[in-house]
Order: sequence, then C-alpha cells, then structure tokens
Amino acid sequence: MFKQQGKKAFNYATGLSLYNLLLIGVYPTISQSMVVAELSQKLPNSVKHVFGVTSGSGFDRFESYVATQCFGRVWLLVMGISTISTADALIAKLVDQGGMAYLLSSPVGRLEVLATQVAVLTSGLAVMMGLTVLGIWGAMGLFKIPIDVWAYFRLVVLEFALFLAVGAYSLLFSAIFNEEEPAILIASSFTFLCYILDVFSELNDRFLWVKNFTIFGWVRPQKVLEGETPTLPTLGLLGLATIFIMLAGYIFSKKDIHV
Amino acid sequence: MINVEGITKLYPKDKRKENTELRGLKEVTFRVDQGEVFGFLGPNGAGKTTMIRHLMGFIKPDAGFAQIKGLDCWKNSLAVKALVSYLPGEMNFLEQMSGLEFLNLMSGMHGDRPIFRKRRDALVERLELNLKQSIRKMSKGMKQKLGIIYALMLDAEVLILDEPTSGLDPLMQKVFIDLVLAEKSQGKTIFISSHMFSEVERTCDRVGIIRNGKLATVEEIQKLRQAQQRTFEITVADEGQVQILRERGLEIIAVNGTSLSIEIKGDLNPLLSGLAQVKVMSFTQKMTDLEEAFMHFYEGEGRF
Repeated sequence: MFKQQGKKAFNYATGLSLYNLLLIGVYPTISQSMVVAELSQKLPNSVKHVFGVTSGSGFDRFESYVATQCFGRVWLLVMGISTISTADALIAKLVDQGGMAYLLSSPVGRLEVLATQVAVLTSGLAVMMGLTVLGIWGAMGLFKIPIDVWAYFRLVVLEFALFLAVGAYSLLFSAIFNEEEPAILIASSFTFLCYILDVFSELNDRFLWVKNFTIFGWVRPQKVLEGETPTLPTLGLLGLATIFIMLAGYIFSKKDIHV
Repeated sequence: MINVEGITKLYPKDKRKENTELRGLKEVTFRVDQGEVFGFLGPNGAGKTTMIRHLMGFIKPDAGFAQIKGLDCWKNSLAVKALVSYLPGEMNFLEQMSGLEFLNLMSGMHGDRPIFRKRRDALVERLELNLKQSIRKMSKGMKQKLGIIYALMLDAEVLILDEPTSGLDPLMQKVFIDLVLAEKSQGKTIFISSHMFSEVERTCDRVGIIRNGKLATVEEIQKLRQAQQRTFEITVADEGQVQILRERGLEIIAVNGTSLSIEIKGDLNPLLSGLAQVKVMSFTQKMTDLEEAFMHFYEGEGRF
C-alpha cells in the first residue's frame, strides 16, 4: 500500500516542486515589471481575494506572490485531486474491484486495515507537503531571495492539516459508499462547495462570516507567510480530520462489505 | 466444522413484493463435517457468493448464523479467519505488486509462519508460475494460479474456494483437483462454490444445490452422478449397426445416417455392451450442463 500510493504521492510532489521552482524563478522578472505592478494595483480587492491575495499588496511582495502562486488555486486543485483520489483508492476502489477481499480474509481487524490506509494517506500528504516546502526553500536559496523559513514551515503544517481533513472526509465517503463513483463524486462535490463558499466569503465584507463554515476559509496563506501563527485553524482542522477518521472507522467496521 | 443455520440475507430489492427473483439468501441451513469436501453449486446469481461472504464475516446476516469450528463468522470473524483460507471468485489483486510481493504481504498478514514459504515454493513448482512477474501483466489463468497458491500455502484447517478453476486450462484443472484431494487426505475441510458440475464432481463428497437464494437440497455426489444425464454422439460403420443399437433398448434421441445421439441416465453398462456389438467410428460424450442435470434430477423427485 505504502509502495503503491507512495510512488503516486512522490510523483505529484515532484511535479508541484518543479512548478514552484518555475514560479519562483520568474519572480525577480515579475516583481520588477512595471506592467505587472500596475495591473496588480488596478485589480479590485474582491478579484484579488478570489485569487488568494488577502492583503492589499500586489506581486511586489514575495510573500503575496508565493501565497497566490505557489499555494494558490493550481496547487489547491492538484492537492485536492491527489488527496481525494488517494482516499478513494484506499477503500472504495479496493472494495469495488475486489482487492479488499484479500486484506479482509486475513486475521487482521477491519480497524487495523483502516488504520493502515490512514497511515498511507497521512504519509503521502506529508511527502507532498515536505517536498513542496523543500522545493520552495531550495528555489529561494537558488535565486537568493531572503525569506522567513519558519513561516513557510508553519504554512505547510496548516496546509497538511487542511488536506488531512479533505482526505479524512473522502475516506469517510469511501467507507460509506464502498464504490468508486459515488465516493469520488460526493467528496469532489463537497470539496468544491467548500472552496466556492471560501471564494464567496472573500467577495464582500458582508459575506465574511461564511468563511467560518468552510475549511478553506480557515487557511489564509498570505497571513501566515506574513508572520501569523495559525495554531487554532491547524488544531481545528486536525480535530475535524480525527472526527472524520473515527466515523470512517466506525462505519467500515460495522458495514456489510460486498467483496 | 462448518455449521450454517437458517441464514437469511435480504437485499432491498428482495423486500419488494413484486420481486420474485431473490438476490440474497433465505433460511439456508447445512453442515460440513471435518475432513469433508463440500460443493456449493448453483447458477450465477443464485446466492453462492453471498453465502461465502457470510462465512468470511464480510456481511452480517439478517437472521440465522454461520459458524466455523463453533465460532460465529460475524461476531468472531477474526478468530474464524485465523482458521480459514479463502480464494475469492474475482481475481483482483493489488496489481502493482509482483506475485511474490503479494504472497509475502498476505503471508505477513496471516502471521508469516515458516511453513507458508515451504508450501508456497512447492505449489509454485507444481503450478509452474513465475512469481517475479508483475500481477498487472499476468493473464487470467496466471492470476488464478496465484490465488490458488495463496489459498493453499496458508495450511489452514478450512479452505473456502470460490469458483477455483475458472480460467485454468484442463491440465492445470487436473493439477488443482490433485491438490484439493491431497488437502482432503490431510483432514482439511473444504468448501467449494461453483456453477460447474465437473469442477466439484471429482473432488466433493456432498453437494449443496442453491437456486434463487434457497438451498434446494444437499446430496451425496454419488447420487447426483447417478442421476446425471449424459448424451453420447456415436458414429457406427453402417446403417445396419444403427439398427443393432436400436434393438438394445437404448434411448436414441436422434439419428442422422450412421450417426446417433444416445442419452444415458446412471448406469453406462447397457451402452457399453451395445457398442461391443458394433464397429464404432467415432465416440464423443456431451455433458449436460449443471442446470440441466439439476432439472433432470429434481424433475424425477418432483422438487422443482
């Protein structure tokens, strides 16, 4: 399991690191470009929010650039797809295709099987986050951009907690449906809804309260990179992930499994 | 060793009044003694796999219970699985692994006893399988062999085999039958689910016949074999010899020139003594399929 999913996580993480390397590589050019500076000044705040820039600053500040580009929408999309598909492959796909029959025919309890799958998911996420932050640190060393190293560390811990929560409810749907298609559909739709609510909450101050009802609203990369320590959101997301995993464990241990 | 008492499992479809085709099981009861090979026969969709899922503790019965060595298969599923080795009907392995990696993983999950490796090596030699090959690249037959190696290497007291010879060539089917008979001689209890009469005919002591979710009967294989109707396609030298066979009182169901189709139920001796009187040019046996065999068997006893 570790071998199978680890390879996939490593591939995704390598792709993301190279993507970040490319983005950081072009930063000196972008930050000195008058056109980009002018464009970012002219953009309305609501549009900047949609793209993940939470302060009034544009791309002239490295932190806002990294928050928008390296941890922005493309990164979220890739992480979301990778996490949901991994969680699906760990339970629903195995049940759907019959491979789970071998695991469950051994004298190893269902909870133990699920715990292994959670460990696979968690370690995959850790590899992806680790390589992302190493890629950013490496790129910054390469292009000699001074940064607060620990701020980036705090940010990946927060992002890890966010995607652990995404993976945990995806595992829960995987355990509930035991079939690939509905499990992926519901997990993706729920993630998309959370994301849309986050974007919506940023459009206008009147809707700001909505961000409390979406896990994406708990994560503000730019603020963390600018020095905020996100203890509460990190603990909250880890707590949610624990609840989802416990629910998945309860359902997986009690449910009829048709393999 | 295996005790199934009134197992009922109804799926949502089964609970609808207009539905007459049961997908689950209804009040299935049977026993399998220690050292016995028990065949569980029935057409596809009759409930064979649902029964196995109960024995393996994958699903919970609505009513009744299944026990292996006195342990409830749902409530004590871990203890039951320590006694049981299972060959699933669908050969869907963890495909990115090689055969060897898969067997090592499963061996570890079953406690990794030294005998597993010894038995594995002997089985690999017997079934001629390259374990280094990736499972993804294996043919259906090769995957079936891998499944058989997995099931037999565990040296379990009880073997539960779902359609074990599907995908195997005739030579390997024979090897499999020899392996099952060897396990039986060691006192293992074996439960084989199948829709192929020939698969269980050579290995089983008794057969349970399931149809539409209900156990129609449990019979000794000898009795079923006697009741099985067989059709022989025979060509003789000339038409005069066809007449000789007619006079022997055999049930000739079709004649085309010098070719005949003869149906025999039970004892073969009348046919053999008839054939001794003529010059046989060709002789083939057409086995009746399982459903047909059952129908003939039960028509006689009026159970269907």
